[in-house]
Amino acid sequence: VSVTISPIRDAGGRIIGASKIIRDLTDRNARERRIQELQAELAHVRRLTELGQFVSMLVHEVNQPLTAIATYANACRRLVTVGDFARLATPLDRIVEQTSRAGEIVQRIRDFVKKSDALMRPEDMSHVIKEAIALTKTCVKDDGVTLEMQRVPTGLQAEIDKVQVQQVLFNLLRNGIEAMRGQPRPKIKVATKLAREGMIEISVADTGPGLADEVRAKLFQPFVTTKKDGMGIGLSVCKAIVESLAGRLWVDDNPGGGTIFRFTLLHAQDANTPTR
Amino acid sequence: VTETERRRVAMVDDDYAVRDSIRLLLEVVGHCVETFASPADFLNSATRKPSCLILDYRMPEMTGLELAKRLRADGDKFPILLITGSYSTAAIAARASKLGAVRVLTKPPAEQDLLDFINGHPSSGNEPCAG
Repeated sequence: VSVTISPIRDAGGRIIGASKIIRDLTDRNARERRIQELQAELAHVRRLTELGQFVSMLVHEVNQPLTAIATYANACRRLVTVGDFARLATPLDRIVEQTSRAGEIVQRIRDFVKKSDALMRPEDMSHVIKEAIALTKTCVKDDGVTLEMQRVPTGLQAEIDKVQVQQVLFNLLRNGIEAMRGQPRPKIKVATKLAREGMIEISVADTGPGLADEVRAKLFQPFVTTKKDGMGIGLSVCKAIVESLAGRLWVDDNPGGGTIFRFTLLHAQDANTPTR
Repeated sequence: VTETERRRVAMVDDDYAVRDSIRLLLEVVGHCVETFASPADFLNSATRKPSCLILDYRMPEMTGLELAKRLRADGDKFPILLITGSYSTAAIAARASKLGAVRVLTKPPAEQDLLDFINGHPSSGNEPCAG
């Protein structure tokens, strides 16, 4: 609450009383928080849309040289079968040209990924995780899942692009929530600890049914999904993001049942302390 | 292919390499192929009556599906193959099937599917191959 007290004066300026205004700020705080959440949500949607467009463009651009290469190769095979070797040189040259064209597309993808380097800065992991949990609660129907952040060591900072790491956390939390649909007492725990070699390790542990071996084998492959309406890019994007931030992402079984996704990030303080 | 199996294939694709490679393959097999770099080039061509037509889906000016619709509206009945790299293939196929004799293949198409499409239709008795 906020309290404002103002004197009430008569025409001669003497204080003859006081007015007191008490405002309940719960609403305003909730509204500000909601605005922040919406902004985060918007940033997330914008990223997904950009990614979707990028993937769509990529599919088209990579398919063109692939189509040409496959077709030239088929023609060459037929020319060999009929012994018409004189006509082979041109399509073979074209295959080499089209391979370079595909290589240039790969280079453009590298450049696109590189752009994110500029946004790396030390971020308080406690804030990063809290905001990601709030974003997930806003965007995903949680069916009564408990999302819990274990206490982060005070002042623990990672050198990251915050929005990208939140994207990773959002995807992992959403996957966890979806994996636990229909399970009793669904719960996800996010824990952070200082790991070895100047890294911070974050774990996202659910109490879902765990992963079948055949799912685990293809878990991080792009465009492989077990979801009816999934595109199969969530986890491969998570892995790509974590690796672009110089960390690793992997999966473990949760000893109590369920799955634990773990990833590492650069410990910000590590850059300032000499290596022992 | 034998003389009776030879088809006069037209193809519209804005990508030179895709156009050139499919032309080479079909010529090696024995068909005669005429290629066009844009839907407008095909629509304006004097010889608009191939045995069958191969269309890229994603082109400037109009999509392959739009071109197929236009041709059907003009009364052209030759079989059309749409090649698409888009992930909305099912949605495209649903619309294409309504146009009649329009097949959809995803890119890159398998050689056999391509040849099956061309051989799967009787020669329409249009102009013979030049040369």
